[in-house]
Amino acid sequence: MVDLILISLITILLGFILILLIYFFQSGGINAIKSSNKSPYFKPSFLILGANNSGKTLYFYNLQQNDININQTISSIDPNFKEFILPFSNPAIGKKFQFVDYPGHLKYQNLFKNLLINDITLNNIKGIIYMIDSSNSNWSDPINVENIVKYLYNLLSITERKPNGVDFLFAINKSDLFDSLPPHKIKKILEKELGKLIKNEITNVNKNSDLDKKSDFINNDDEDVNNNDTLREFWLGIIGSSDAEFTFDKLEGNMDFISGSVLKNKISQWENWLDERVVNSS
Amino acid sequence: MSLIIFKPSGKIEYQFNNKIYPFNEFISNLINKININNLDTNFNSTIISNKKFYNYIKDDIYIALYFDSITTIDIDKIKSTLINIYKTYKKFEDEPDDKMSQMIALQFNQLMKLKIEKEPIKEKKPVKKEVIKEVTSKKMRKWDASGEIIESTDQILDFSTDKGEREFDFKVDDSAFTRNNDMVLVNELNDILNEEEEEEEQVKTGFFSKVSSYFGSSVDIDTISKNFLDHLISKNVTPQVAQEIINNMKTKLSKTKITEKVYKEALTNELTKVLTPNASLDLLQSIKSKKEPYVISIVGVNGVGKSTNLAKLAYWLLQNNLKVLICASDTFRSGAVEQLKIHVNNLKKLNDSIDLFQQGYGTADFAVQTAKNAIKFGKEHGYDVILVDTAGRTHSNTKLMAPLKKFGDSVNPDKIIMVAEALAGTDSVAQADSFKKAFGNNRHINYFIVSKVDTVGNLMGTLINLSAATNTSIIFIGTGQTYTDLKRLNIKQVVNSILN
Ligand SMILES: Nc1nc2c(ncn2[C@@H]2O[C@H](COP(=O)(O)OP(=O)(O)OP(=O)(O)O)[C@@H](O)[C@H]2O)c(=O)[nH]1
Ligand SMILES: Nc1nc2c(ncn2[C@@H]2O[C@H](COP(=O)(O)OP(=O)(O)OP(=O)(O)O)[C@@H](O)[C@H]2O)c(=O)[nH]1
Ligand SMILES: [Mg+2]
Ligand SMILES: [Mg+2]
Repeated sequence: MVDLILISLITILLGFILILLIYFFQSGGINAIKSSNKSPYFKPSFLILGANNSGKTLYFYNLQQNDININQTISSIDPNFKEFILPFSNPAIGKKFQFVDYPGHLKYQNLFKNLLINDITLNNIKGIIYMIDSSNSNWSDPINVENIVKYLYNLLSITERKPNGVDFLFAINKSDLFDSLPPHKIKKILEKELGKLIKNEITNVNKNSDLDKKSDFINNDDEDVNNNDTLREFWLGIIGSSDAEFTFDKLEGNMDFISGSVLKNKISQWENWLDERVVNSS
Repeated sequence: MSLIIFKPSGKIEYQFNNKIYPFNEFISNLINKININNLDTNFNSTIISNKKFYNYIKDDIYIALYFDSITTIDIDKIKSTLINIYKTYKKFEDEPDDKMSQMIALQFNQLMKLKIEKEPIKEKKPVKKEVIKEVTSKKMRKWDASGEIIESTDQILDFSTDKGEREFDFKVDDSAFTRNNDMVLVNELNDILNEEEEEEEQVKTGFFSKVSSYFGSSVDIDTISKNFLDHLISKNVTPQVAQEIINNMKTKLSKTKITEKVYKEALTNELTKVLTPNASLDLLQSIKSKKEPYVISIVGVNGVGKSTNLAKLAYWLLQNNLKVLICASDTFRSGAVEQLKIHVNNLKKLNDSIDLFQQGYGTADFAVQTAKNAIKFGKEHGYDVILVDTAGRTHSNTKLMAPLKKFGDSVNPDKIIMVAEALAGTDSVAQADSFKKAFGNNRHINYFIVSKVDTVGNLMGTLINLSAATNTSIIFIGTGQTYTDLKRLNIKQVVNSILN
């Protein structure tokens, strides 16, 4: 009698557990619970960055040699992620690298910073391709220039904190256009404009208001980036003294300026640059 | 006019012609939420430099078109055409070919034809219903290969799928088909559009969905949406703004089931985007790069903290070695000038490079005159910045708002900063809207300072409201009544405190 009740109770219980289990596996199972702490983007990566309309996405799709020729893209709403095997010149000995094409919208700044610092992490960044629309019509608009320079300034404020920095390829794109500026000219403008921003940062000696400790980009909450250095001390460390001029050589990372055209498929020098990073690092 | 189908990645899946450049600006407006008119959860429109854009989004596929804004086409027809084009695209998604292009071009041309026949119908619901009735009571039409209309009574041409409404009244004429004179094509298109939509997945309800949500597995997205909607509203986000954000999420996630964790992550990203400024907030840089005094005027409703936060700004500028002139252009409220005098005297003790410019009390015109004199004085005496205090005014009072336009035009400040209270809740958006409009078409509010954030605890919804509804960045927040209580917005912290 007792056994019978016990058995039926156990049966009911087992049945119930079984139902739960079945249900559980049907609705996603272990995968749904397993919340790994590492981000899916935590991988050795190359980033394709730059202002809107510079040609990042078109380049990203042209990296995929097997893809049918794409020669028109539209401003991206989401970033693109894909793994490629490098070096291009010898895939047989190659390894996989994640490529990220991140849209240039200012609204995405914080999300991007998050991705860079917390998901991919600085140590995984093998190089940054900073895409630039070289057309004079682009460079004659001060707002565009400001966007290009500010973005770069904010990026360097992060990447140069890594020992040895991060290598940049300035991909001076759209060289096919008749009003395209040559790389050395663009380098000069960037050097000058970055210099202004840096000077601004370091000439403010007496700053003790909370407002000035950090830039727009680096908020008070990025413990991992801030090393207790204020932005001022950081830039001062890079250019040497408060009356020194900024030049790209003063940075830890290599800064290469190479022209090309995604549209005309003149991108082999950029591929070489990528291959060099991979071969050198291994 | 043009039409494209694209993915959020930036990849174009179909283009009607090569006039696609204008869509870049459209996408920029979409991302910055500038003048976007949400007609439905996944259907919106906007006007950019005389082009009228319409956009339908489903499952990560964007179908967008534009035409000259002088032409009008019935919105419902545009929507149903976009939905039909979506269906056509979906059918060929895996291997798009010429046939797909022809079918889409056919539908787009058909729509564009309507713009010539002037559509007088502007009102929405009541008239629309009549139209539908009229259409359905007619014999149904179907195209044949030569573009002739075959009338049939037995088969209903159900082009629209969403609500079973039949509103796509094809007025077919021959010219639309001269290039597509192909029986097969037209028939096939009809077949695609007539296909029943697949049954939506059954929605889990009751006990099991609750049990499974404990295990972190998927729950019905509507349930989660509703929960987060309520949550946002409980944090002082206005119902409209909250609804809009939740709708965006739905469009974006395009799933019927989702885990709470994934949803929350996506919402965190969405709120972060909303709060991220889309313009440089580097005020110091702008001030330093101008040779003449940089003029900033502070506006807002009565008692929100204009004068106090102006004093905090002055304190910060002094710390950056700038020479500051405060202009008492609140010539209206008694005591306003004296209030500033006290601030200036306090600040002078810390740093001598600050002075007050005041000429006493008077009318709105007198306030303008005072500001102009202050600028003249500032130029002559080498000030770097002039901070112009203005009288508080109720945004709904047009008599008080009207002088702002004149103030802006004659004083011509480099930046206009509006102070808004974190407490204001629902009213904040209305306030911001009227102040934005008050300066006319050529001038607008550049930044917000949101004051009294220290008094609202976790209920920081106002920050979301202002950013989402106005596309103006919050440059600082006021967090108390001392000079150092002016902070930059810590977006991460705000998002966390809203979502937790
Ligand atoms: N003439 C010319 N046009 C190019 C070249 N590379 C890209 N473009 C065009 O530039 C436009 C922008 O290219 P995208 O790749 O979409 O730009 P993006 O950098 O991804 O822009 P966002 O996604 O908005 O950040 C497209 O219309 C491209 O066709 C080039 O080498 N020459
Ligand atoms: N707690 C707190 N109080 C503030 C803050 N900002 C301003 N206040 C207080 O709000 C009250 C009104 O501030 P005012 O600066 O006089 O406001 P106003 O907008 O200039 O007012 P009118 O000139 O009369 O329109 C004062 O008591 C301030 O101390 C803030 O950030 N936090
Ligand atoms: Mg792109
Ligand atoms: Mg006041």
